[in-house]
Amino acid sequence: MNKLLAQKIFRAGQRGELINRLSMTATGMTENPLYNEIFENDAEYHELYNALPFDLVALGGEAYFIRESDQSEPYMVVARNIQVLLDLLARGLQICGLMPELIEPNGFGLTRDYINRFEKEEDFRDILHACGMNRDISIEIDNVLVGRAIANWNQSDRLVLTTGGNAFFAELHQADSVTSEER
Amino acid sequence: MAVNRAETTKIVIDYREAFFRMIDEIDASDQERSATEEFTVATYERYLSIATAKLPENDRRTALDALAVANLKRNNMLVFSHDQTGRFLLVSWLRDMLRSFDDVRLRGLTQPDLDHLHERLAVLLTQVKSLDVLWIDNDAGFRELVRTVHDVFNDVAHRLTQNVAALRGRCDALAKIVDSADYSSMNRAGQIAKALEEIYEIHERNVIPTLRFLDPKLAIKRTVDTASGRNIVNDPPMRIAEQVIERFAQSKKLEYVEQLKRIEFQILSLADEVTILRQGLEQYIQMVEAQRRRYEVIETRFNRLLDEVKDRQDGRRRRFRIPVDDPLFKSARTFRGLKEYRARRGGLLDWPLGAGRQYLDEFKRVTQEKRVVDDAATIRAPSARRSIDPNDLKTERKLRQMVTLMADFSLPRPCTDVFLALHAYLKDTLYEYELPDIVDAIAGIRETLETSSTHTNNIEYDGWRYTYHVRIPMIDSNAEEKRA
Repeated sequence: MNKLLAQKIFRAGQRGELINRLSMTATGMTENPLYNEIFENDAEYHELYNALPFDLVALGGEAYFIRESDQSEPYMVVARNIQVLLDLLARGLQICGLMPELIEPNGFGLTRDYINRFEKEEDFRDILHACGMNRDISIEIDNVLVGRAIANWNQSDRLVLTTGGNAFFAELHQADSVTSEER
Repeated sequence: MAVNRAETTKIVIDYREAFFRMIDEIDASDQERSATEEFTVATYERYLSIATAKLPENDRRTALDALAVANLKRNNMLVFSHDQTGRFLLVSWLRDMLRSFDDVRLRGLTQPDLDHLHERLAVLLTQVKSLDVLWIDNDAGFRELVRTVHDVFNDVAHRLTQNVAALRGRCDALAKIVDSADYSSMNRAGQIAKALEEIYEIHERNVIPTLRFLDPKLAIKRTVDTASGRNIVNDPPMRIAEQVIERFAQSKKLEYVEQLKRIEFQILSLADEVTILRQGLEQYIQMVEAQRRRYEVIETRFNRLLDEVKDRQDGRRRRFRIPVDDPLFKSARTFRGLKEYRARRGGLLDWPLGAGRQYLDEFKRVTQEKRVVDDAATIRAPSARRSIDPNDLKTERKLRQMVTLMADFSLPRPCTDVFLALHAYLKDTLYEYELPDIVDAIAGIRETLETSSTHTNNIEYDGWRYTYHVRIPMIDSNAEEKRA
C-alpha cells in the first residue's frame, strides 16, 4: 500500500467522490493512479475500511467509492438524487432525439444549451421539487453529479459521465431492473 | 446536334457521376419524390454543367448535345418528359444500368414487389394448366407460352439476384457506419442512430420477405388478383414454379424442363445468400433491439417517477415530497451511505445540550473577565502634548486644596450663619480665595443644614457680593435620626 495514495483515497472517499478507473485530463482519458492503487491492493484496502465504519464498494469494475456502513435514512438522500438526475438526463436525451451513448465517457458530451432546454421542462421541475431539489437542474447536476465525480465537463465544456457514472447509468437501464422492482 | 443511341449511352456512362448524384438526392429526399425516379430538368442541367465544367470546349459541347433532354427523347431513352413541370423519367433499362454500377444504389424488393412476382407466377401456372394449350412444338400458341414462361422465370431470377446484391450493398455501407461507433460529434452519433434504424428496416421489410418468398415449404395463404378474378393462392411462389415445371414434365417436354430447372435452382440458391446476409445482420438487429429496450426502460422509469409526482400533487403543501425509502429509488441502493455534505454546511449549528452548556457559559465568563483585565493593562496616560487651559489647572488645584481644607473644618458652636463662618475660615486659609468659592465649599460640610425662608444676609468681599438665605446646622433629634 502506498501511504500517500491511501491518504488521497481516504480524502476523496470522505468527500463522497467516486474513484474512477479513468480520469479526465487535458489530453484525454488517462488511468487513475488512485483506482490502480486500490485495484492492486484490494484485500488490504477492504480490510482497512472494514475495520472502520465504512464500506469500500466496487462499481462494476469501473470505479470505487467509500460509503458509511450506517445506511439509515439520511444517507439515502444522495443516492436518490443521483438516481433521479440520471433518469432525467436519460429522458432529456430521449426528448431531444439523442442517443444515451452521447454522454458516455468518450462521447461527444451534452452541451449546456441542451441542459438549459431541460430546465424549461415543467415535468422535470416537478420531479426535482418532489425529490427535494429546489434549484435549477444545471446547478443540481454540478452539485450532485459533477461534485461526486459521477459526471464531469470535458475540455469542450460538454457534460460526459465518468467511467463509474456510466457503469451506474447503464445498470439503471437494464430491463430486468424495472421488472424486478415491479415484482 | 443529334447523337445516336449507342453514342449517347456511352456518354451517359462517361458522365454517370452526375446521374449518381441525382439518384442519391432522390433517394435521400422525402417519400413522395423518392417513390418515382423522375429528374427535374433544372437539377439535371445544374449537375451536367458541374460535371462538364473542366472539359475543353469541343468535348463539352459534344457531351451537352448528347445528354440534352431533347436528344434523350429523340433516342427513346425517356419514358416521358413533361415540359410544364420540367420533369422527365429515364427508361427503366437505363435506370437499372445506372443503379447497377454500384450495389449501394440498387433497390431491394419489398413485400409489394414480391407479391407482384408471386402473382405473375400464379397467373403463369393457370396459363400452363389451361386445357387450351396444345403441347405440340410447332404450335404458335405453345411457342408463345414457352417464351412467356421463360420470361417470367428469368425475370424473377433477375429481380431476386439484383435484390440480394442490393441488400448486401446497402447493409455493408450501413454496417460500416455503425461499426465505426463514433460518438465524437452530434452529427456522427445521429448518423449511427439512423443507420441502425435503416438496417433494422431492411431486415424487416426486405430480407425477411425475400426469405419467405424463397422458401418452397412455407405455406402462407394470400389473396392475389389473377386474370380470372380474385382467388386465394395457397402455394408459396417456389412451389408454383415447381408445378409449372412438373406440367412440362408431364407433357414430356424434357428439354424445357432442364432449362427451367436450371433457373429454378439459380433462384433457390439465392436463399443461401440471403440467409448468410441475415446472419450478418443479426448482430445489428440485436443492437437495435437492445437500444429499443433501453429506450423503453428510460421511458418507463421516467413515467413511473412522473406518475408518482403527479399523484402527490393534491393542492396541499403537505406530502408532496417522495419519501427517500420509496421503492422507486431502489435501484440507487448501491450509493446508499454516501453522505450529504451540502446539508451539513448550510444547516443549523449543533448546540451542545444539557451538561455541555455550563462549560460553554464558564468559558464565556472567563474570556470576558480576561478581556477586562487586558483592557485595564493597556489603558494609557493622557498625552502630555495636549494643550491645557491654565484656568482649568488653577480651578482644579483650588478644588483639591478646598477638599483637604474642608476635611479639617468643623462648624463653630453655636453657629448662626454657615456661609459667614465658611467665608471667615476660607478667607484666611484658601490660596487665591474668591467669594463664589463658598458655594462649592458648602458641599464639604458633613452636617445637615437648615435653610431659613425669611432671614437673608449678604457678604461683600473683594468686589463680589453674595446675597443668600441664611443656613444653620440642624440640631434637633430629628436631624440626628436622618443622619443615622
